[in-house]
Amino acid sequence: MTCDEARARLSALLDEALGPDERGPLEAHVATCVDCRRELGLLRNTVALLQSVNPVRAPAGFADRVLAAARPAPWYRRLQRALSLPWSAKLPLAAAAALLVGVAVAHLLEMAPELQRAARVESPSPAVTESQEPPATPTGAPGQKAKAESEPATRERREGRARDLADEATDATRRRDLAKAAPAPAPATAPERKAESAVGAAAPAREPAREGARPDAATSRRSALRTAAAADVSGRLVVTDREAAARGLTELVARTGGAEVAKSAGADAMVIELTIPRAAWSEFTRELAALGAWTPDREPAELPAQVRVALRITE
Amino acid sequence: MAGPIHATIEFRSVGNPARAVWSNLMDRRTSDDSHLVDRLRRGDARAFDELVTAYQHRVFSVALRMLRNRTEAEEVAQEVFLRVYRTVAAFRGDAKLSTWLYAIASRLCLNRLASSDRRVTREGDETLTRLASGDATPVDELERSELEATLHRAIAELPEERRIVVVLRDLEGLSYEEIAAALDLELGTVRSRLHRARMDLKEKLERFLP
Repeated sequence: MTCDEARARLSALLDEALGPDERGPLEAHVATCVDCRRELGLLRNTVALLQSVNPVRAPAGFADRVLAAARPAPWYRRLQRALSLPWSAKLPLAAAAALLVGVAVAHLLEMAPELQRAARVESPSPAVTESQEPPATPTGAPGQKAKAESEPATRERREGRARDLADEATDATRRRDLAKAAPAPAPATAPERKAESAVGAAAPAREPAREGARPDAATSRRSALRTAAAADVSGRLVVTDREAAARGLTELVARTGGAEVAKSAGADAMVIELTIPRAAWSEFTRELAALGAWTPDREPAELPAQVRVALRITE
Repeated sequence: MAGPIHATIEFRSVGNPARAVWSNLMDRRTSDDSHLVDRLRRGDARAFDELVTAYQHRVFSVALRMLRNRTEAEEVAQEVFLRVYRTVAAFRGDAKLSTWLYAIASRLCLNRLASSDRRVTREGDETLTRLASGDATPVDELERSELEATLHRAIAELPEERRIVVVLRDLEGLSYEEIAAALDLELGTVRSRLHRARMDLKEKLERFLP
C-alpha cells in the first residue's frame, strides 16, 4: 500500500468504517510509515476538535412556533399565547402597570379633598351658586341705582323701605324670618319661587342687567317689597277681607285702564303692583278708598304718564 | 501554545461530555421512533409535539452550521418540520426517522445555499462564534472561544457538499450509511468527501493540533 492509498483511508480508519480486507494492510502500513502515522495523529486530533464543538440548541420558543405554524391554533389559544409574554417583556410591562396605578391613585387622592370641599360649598348654600346665574331677579323701577350698590347696602335699603311699607306686626315677623334666613338660608319654597318668577317674567326689561345675589328665604317677600320700593306711589290698604279686596282691586284696575304687574301673597299681607294711567289716577284713588282704608306712604305731586303703584293689603 | 494543545489531548481522551450526554438522550429517543412514526401516521396530535421537541435542536443545528445565520436557520428548520407534518403519512419507514429529518434538512439547506440570492450574503460567522461554551474558566474560555471561532470559520469555509458531510458525521454523529441515505450518495462518495473535508480542516486548525 502506498502512502497516498493509505492516507485516503485514514479518515475511515478513525471511524472504524473499513472492512477487514482494507483495515489490515492500512494498519500494517501506518505501523511502518512515520509520516502516515503522524498524519493519522493529526487527523485524529482534528476530528476530536470537531467533536468538541458544543451542540447547538434551537432558539427559545422555536418548538411552539413550529407547532403554531403546523396547526393554526384556535383563536383563544392564539390570544393566550400572545398574552403569555416572556418574563423579559412581562416585568417591564408589570412595572409600568404598577406605576400607572400608583400615579392614578395619587392623582385621585389629590383630587378627593378638592371634591369634598366643593361638595361642602355647594350643598348647604344655594345662594352662592345661584348668584352665578344670569339676572332672573325680579326688580324695581327704572332709574334705581341698585347696580352700583353692594348686596348688604341694597338689602338694608330694601328693608328700610319695607319697614315703611309694612305694619309693625308683619315687619317684626319679616325681620324674624330674615334673621332666621341669614345664617343658613334655605331654598325658597315652590310657591314663593313661582311668585318670584312671575314678577321677573312680568318685568324683565325694567332692569335687565341687575346683578347681586339672588334672594334667599325671604325672597318672595322682599321681591315684593323691592317692587314696592320701585313704585311711584306706595301705601297701605287695610281691608276686612283681603281676597275680596284683591278681587275688587283687579276690577278697579281693569276699569281704570291699568294693569296688574305683580302680585304676591304672604301670611299676613298681600302686595300688588299695578300701573294706572295718570288720567285715571284720581278715579283710582277714589275707588280704592271704597275697598279699604288707603294710607299712601308716598305720593309725589308730579306723576308719570303711567303711575306705578305698590299696594300692601292687610287686614 | 500550551493551553490549546493540552485541551486537544483532553478532548481526544474524554470527548465532549455535553455532546455525549446529548447523544445518549437522542439515542434513547431514537429507539422510540418507530412508535412515534406510527402515531404520526395516525394523526396523533401529541406525536408531532414530541417529534418537534425531540428533534428541534438537531435540525436547527444542521441548518445553522450550513447557513451560518440564525434567522435563516430557524426558517429552514421550521420548514423541515412542516414538511414532516405534511408528508408523514407517505413516510415509508424503511429509513430511520432521524435520517429522514436529516435528509430533509440537508436538502433544504443545500437548495437554499444554491439559490442565487443566497450566494451574495456571507454574514453570520459572528453568530457561530457566539456559540462558544460558557462553563470554562475565563482563561480557558478565551482560548476555547478562539479555538471555537477558528473551528466554526474552518467549517464554514468548506465547500457545501463537503461541509454537510462533516457536519452530519462529526457534529451530528451519523454513521456513513446514514449519511449516504440522507444525502442519497454512495458510501464511497461519503467517505471521500468526509476525508477531503477533514484534510481541509486539519490544515486550517494546524496551530491547535499537537
